[in-house]
Amino acid sequence: MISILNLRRNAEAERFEELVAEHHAGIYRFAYRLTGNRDDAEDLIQEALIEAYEAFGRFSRGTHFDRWVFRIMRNTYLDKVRAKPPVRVESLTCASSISDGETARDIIDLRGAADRELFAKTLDGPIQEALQTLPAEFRIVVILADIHELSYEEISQTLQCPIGTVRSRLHRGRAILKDKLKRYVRF
Amino acid sequence: MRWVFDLTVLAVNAFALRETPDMECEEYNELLSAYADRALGIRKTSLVGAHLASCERCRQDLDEIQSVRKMLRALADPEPSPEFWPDVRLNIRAASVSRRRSVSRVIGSAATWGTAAALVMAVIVLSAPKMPGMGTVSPPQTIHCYALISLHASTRAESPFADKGTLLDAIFDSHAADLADDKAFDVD
Repeated sequence: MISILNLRRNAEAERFEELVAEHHAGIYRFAYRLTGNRDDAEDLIQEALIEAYEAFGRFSRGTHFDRWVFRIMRNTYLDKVRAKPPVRVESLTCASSISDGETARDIIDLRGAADRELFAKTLDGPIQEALQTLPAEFRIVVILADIHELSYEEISQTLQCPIGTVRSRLHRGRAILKDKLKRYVRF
Repeated sequence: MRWVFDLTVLAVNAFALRETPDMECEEYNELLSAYADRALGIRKTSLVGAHLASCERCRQDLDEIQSVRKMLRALADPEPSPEFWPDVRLNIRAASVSRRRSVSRVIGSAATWGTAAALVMAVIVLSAPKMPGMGTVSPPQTIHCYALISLHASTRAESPFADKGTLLDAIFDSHAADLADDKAFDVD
């Protein structure tokens, strides 16, 4: 009996690893944008994937593994945030990257979208900082909608909340972001 | 198919404008994000479209929302540290092994406790004084029943008790004991 269980566990672990390998980029992207830094993102993924593995028996085959893991990561993250309120840290790198009298507004014009690599390098930090100022629930919806490009319905299913909630969180999240990022982009 | 959608929007737009609800600029503004995502119904899309035609502030807000979307979508994928995914894999395997061990422990301890319970029951039944008139269920049959269950559990669980024999052995033993006991109880 034990050996049958072992075989089943091995097959389950292999299947789980395959799914993680298949979705690793999306899982990492979600965790990184949610936490805002590499260390916290990696801790979150480690913790969430162990939880996901423990609950893998309840995962419905044929559904979206990445979205299932997103939900677990979101729950794990919110538990952590509630247990330990974040300390606000002001970045010095953001201000120093812009020379006197000049703002990124003068060098980045999204309407042209001419140099995406330059854009990514220049604005990743400020955008991530702006994301971190959002309440966690808003941030999660913004990440799923604008970085993972999920539809409202998909977000609603992933987070198990009404579409109306998704819509209002997304709107409020974007409204905060556009105020924070106004100085960097010529709209 | 696009022209069908546009035509429908125009028709609903005309209808919506005919019965313009009492919506303030702020209420339209709340819908701009969903409008940018094409996530509104036809009627609301038309209403917002009509409002945008006449409201400079909302048009600017819509432009800004669209720019924020573009910025977020243009972000590059972050790179993990090189040892990260191999570590994750190791952790999953460790979790798998520890889970297997805990399952074995649970089954092993269940078998142990089952056997212990059977032994206790056997002692109780054997030590109980024989009551007159309790001829319907003979005590030895009860004992063999518990013994059989515990042996079954212990053999299947591959616990330290497994060397007591297989389920088949237990059945044969049980039958043989029953026959002997039947003879022993045929006192009358």
